[in-house]
Amino acid sequence: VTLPSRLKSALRWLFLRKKVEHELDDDIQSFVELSAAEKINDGMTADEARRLTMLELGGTEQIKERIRTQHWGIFIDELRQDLRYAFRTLGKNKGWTAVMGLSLALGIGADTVVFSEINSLLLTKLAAARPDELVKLEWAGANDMVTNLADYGPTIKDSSGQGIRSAFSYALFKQFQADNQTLNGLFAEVPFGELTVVAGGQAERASSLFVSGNYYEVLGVLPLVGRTLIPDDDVTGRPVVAVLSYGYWTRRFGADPSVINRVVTISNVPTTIVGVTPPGFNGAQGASWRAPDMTMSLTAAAEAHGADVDLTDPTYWSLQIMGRLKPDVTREQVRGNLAETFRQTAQAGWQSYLNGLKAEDRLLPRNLRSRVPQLRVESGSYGLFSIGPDVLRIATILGVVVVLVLLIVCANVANLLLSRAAARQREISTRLSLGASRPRIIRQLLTESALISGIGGALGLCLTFAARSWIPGPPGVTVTLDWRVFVFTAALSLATGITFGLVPALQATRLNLAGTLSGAGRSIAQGQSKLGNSLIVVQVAISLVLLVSAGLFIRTLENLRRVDVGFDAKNLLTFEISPDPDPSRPNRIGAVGGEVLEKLRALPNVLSASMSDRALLSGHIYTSNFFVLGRTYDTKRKDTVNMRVVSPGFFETMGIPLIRGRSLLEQDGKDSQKVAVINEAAARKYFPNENPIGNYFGTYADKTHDIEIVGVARDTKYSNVRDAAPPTAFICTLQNPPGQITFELRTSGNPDQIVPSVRNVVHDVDPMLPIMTMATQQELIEERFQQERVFAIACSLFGAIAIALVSIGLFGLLSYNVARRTNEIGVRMALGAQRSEVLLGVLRDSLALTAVGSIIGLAGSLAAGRLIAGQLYGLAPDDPLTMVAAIGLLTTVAALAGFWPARRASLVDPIECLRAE
Amino acid sequence: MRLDVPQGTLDLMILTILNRESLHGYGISQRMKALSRETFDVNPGSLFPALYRLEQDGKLKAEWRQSENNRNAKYYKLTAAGRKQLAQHQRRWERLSIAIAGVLEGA
Repeated sequence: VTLPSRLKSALRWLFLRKKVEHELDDDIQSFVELSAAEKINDGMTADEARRLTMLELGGTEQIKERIRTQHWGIFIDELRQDLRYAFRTLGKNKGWTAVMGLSLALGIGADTVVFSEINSLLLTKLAAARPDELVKLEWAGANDMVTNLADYGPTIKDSSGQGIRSAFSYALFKQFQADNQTLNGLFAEVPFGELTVVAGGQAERASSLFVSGNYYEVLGVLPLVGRTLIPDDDVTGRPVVAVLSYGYWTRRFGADPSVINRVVTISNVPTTIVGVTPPGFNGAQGASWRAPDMTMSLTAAAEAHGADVDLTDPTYWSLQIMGRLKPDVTREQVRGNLAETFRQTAQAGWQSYLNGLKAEDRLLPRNLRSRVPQLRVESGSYGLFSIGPDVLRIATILGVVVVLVLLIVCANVANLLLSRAAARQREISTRLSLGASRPRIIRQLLTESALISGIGGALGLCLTFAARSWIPGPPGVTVTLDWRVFVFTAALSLATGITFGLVPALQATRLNLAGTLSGAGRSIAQGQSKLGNSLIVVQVAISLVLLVSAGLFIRTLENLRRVDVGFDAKNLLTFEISPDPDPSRPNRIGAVGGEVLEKLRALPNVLSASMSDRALLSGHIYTSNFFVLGRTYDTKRKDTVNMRVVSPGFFETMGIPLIRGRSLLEQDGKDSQKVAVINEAAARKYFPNENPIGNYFGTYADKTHDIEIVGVARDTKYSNVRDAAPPTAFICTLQNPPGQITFELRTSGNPDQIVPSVRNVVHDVDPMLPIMTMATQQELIEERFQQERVFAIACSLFGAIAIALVSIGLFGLLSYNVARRTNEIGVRMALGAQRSEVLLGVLRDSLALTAVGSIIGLAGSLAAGRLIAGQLYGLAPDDPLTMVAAIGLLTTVAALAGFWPARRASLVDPIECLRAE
Repeated sequence: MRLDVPQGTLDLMILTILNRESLHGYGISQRMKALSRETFDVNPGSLFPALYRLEQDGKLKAEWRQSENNRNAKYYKLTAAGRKQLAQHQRRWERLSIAIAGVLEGA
C-alpha cells in the first residue's frame, strides 16, 4: 500500500465526495444493466431480469457502504494507530517530549511576536482605501523661505545627505489644491499636541490632530458612528466639531454611541463630537502610530485654539500634505505638476514677509537669503512619517536576534530527532523484520514528528499571546499579531521536524536487518553523532553571540546609570501642568504656577521647590540663536545655545552649584533687566578668554542688548545622558512666561510619598487643571535609556533561552553518546581504566564542543559588535571582560550539562557490560 | 456445484483476468464464472469492494468507456504495481498448490 495513492484516494473521497459517489452509482448501475441485458437475451422478460439481478446484487446500498468504510476505514484506522503509537512513544519519553515541545514553543512564540512587531512597523500600509495610490509631499535642501518651521516625525536624509522635511505653509497647501491636475484631491494635517478635554465634570488631556475638511474623503475612511469631517466643517467661522478615534471613544466614553452631538469643552472651546473612526484606523501618520484622540477641522480649530498653528503667515510652515494619485499618473508627473507652484508660492510668501518689514530691516543679513528647496513626491502608502533610523535600528537588531534564536531552535530540534532516531534503530529493525513495510514505518515516524511539531506549535501560539505584552519592542507602536508570521514560523519548525525526522527514518529503514539486529549498525550512528556535534557547535556559537551582546548592553546600561548628570537626581519629584490660556486672565500660566509653587514649598517633607518650562533630561530640546552684544555676525556664522526657562530657586533645588556670579532671584521680575545664568560649556565656547558675567546677548541679531549674563552654573546633562553638556542658557520664568510648567520638588525622603499631597495642592488651586507626567527625576532619566533597555532585555531574554537550549542539546547528545558507548566504556574499565578518567573523558567531549563553538562564536560576536557599536556607551564592542564572562558562563553551563552523562558513564559496571556482550 | 471464492484468492483472480484485457465489473464476474466452469459465482457485494480497494491501492486504473451494448461502463485495467502484485500472488499460489498437492498425494 503506497502512501501517496492511499492519501490521494482519501483526499478524493473527502473533497470530491459527490463525484466519487456518483461514479460508484453509475458503475453499479452499468453492472445491473449489463447483467439484465444478458438475462433478457437468455429469454427472460425485462422485469424478471431486473428483479433477479437486484437479488443477486444483494442491495446496492450495502455495497456502497462497504466501499465507503473501506476507503475511510483503512486510512483512519492507520492514522489512529499511528497517532496512538506516537502519543505512547512521546509519553514514554516524557523528558524528550517536554524539551522538544518547549524549544519549539519558545522559538515559534518569540519569533511570531518579534516578527509581528517588525511587520507592523515596517510593512503595514495605512488603513485607508487603496493605500498604494497615496503620495506625500516633502522637500529637501536648504530653505530660506521660512521664518518658522514646525516639523514632526523622525528626521531622515536623502541620498545626497540633505535633510528631508515635510512641513508646508497653508498658502502652499491652498495653491497646490488650486493648481493640482494629477491628484484626486490632497489634504493637509498638523498634529496639535495635547488639549484639555472637559466632559462630564472631568478634565483630561487628549492628543489632537487638525486636518483639512477633505482628510477622510481623500483617505476613503468611513465613520464607525456618526459622521467624519466634511469640507463644509473646514470654513472660517464654523462651529468647531471633533471626530474621535476608536481608542479614545472606548477609553474615555465607554464606547457610548450617545456621545454623538454632545458638546464638550476642549481647552475652553465648546466643541461638538460628530463621529468616531473605525478601530483599525490610526491616522495618516503611519499604520502603527498611535491614533490621535481627536481630529478637528483645520481652519475652525486653528482659529479657536490660537497661535500655535498660523494659517495666515506664508512663512510659517507646519502642515503635512498628502494626496491620492489619479489613475495612471506617476509620482514624477505630480512633481512636474506642482514643483513650479511650490517654488513660486514659497518665494511669494517670503516676499510678502519682507514687504511687511521696515526698509532697514529688509537689508539685515538674516533677511538677505533666497534658497528654495526641491519638492519631492514620495509614496504615502506607509503613512506621512517615515520610519526613523532609531526604530529601524531597533527592528534590525531585534530581527537578527530572533533569527539567531530560531536557528538555535531548529538545530536543537534536529539534534533531538537525530539522537532519538539513532536510539530507535533497534526498534525499527525489529519491526521491519517482523514484517512492517518501510513506508508504514516512515509514516509512523513522520506522524511522530508532525505530532510533536504540532504540540510545539500549539504551545508556541499560547506563548505568543502570553508574551506579546512583555517581549520588548520599539516604544509607542501598536502591535497586531500577524497570522502569516505565525504560520511561517510554525511551518518552518514543522519542516525542520519532518526533515530531521525523515532523514534518519529513511536511513534506519534501509539498513541491513541482520546487521543492525546483531549490533553492527554503528557507522550510521557515528555519522549522526558527527552531525549532532556540528549542530551543537553551531548552537554554542550563536548563544555566545547573544550572550556577548546581552553583556555589552547590560554594561552599557550600567555605565549610563552611573554617569554624573551634573545635579542630584535622588529624591527629586517632577510633574507638569499646562493651564490653558484664558483671554480674560492675562499671564494666567505664570499666576497659576506661582500659586502652586508657593503651596508646594509649604508642604512637609519638601525641602525646596522650583519650576521650569521642562525638566532636565526629559527629552525636550529648546534651541535658540545666540548673539552676543558687541560682536559681528555675518550670514554664515550661527551660534546657538540650548535654553531652559527656570524659576528662582531652580539651581538650589536641583543641586547645581554656581561657579561664578549669582543665581536667578525673585527680584528678576517682569519689569527688571532680563537676566540669564549660562553653564560652563557656554562660557567655554562663547567666552573662552573673558568673564561672561556682565555680557549681554539676544536671540535675534538685532536685539543683542536683551539679556544680561549674571552667573555661570556647573555643566549638567541636557536632553540625554550620552552627550556632553551642550552650551545652555537658563532664563527666568518671571521674565519669560513658559507655555507649560514643570515643577521640581526636593524631598527629604522617598518622593513617592508626597504625591497625594501634591495632587491636593494642584486641585486646590484649580480643580480643572490636569497633572501630567508625574515622575521622579530618576524615572525621567531612566526613560532616556528606553532603547538600551529594550536591547538589554531582549538580548538577555533570548540569550537565556539560547543557553537553556544549548545545555539541553549538549545533555541530550552526551547522554546518547554515553548510552551508545556503554559497551566500549565497560571494556575499557575492565581493562583497567579509572572511573575518574571515564568521567573526565566525557566532560572533555562536552568542553571540546563548547570550545570549538566559542571560537566561532567569538568571531561572530566581533562581527555583531560592529552592528551594535553605536548603541554602546563606555565600552568597546570587543570588550574583553564581557567576552570572557560570556565564555565563562557558557563553559560552566556546558560542564554542568556534561556532568550527569559523565557520571552515568563512570558508573558503568564492566562485569554487566561484558556479560551483555 | 457452486463454491464461494476461497479466502484471499479473489484479488489473484481479478488481477489475472485483468492482466489479459481491461474489463468492466460485470465482465469480470462473467469471465470468472466462465473460466471456473461455473464453479465460482462471485457476488457483486464482494467484487465491487475488492475492485475499489485495488484501485485505491494503485493496482488498478479505471476509465469510463462505451460497453459492447453502447452503455457507459467503468473499465478496469492493471497498473505496473498491479502486475507486480499479480506475479507475487501467482508465485505464492503455485507454492501453496504444490504444497497442498504434495500433502494430499502423500496421504
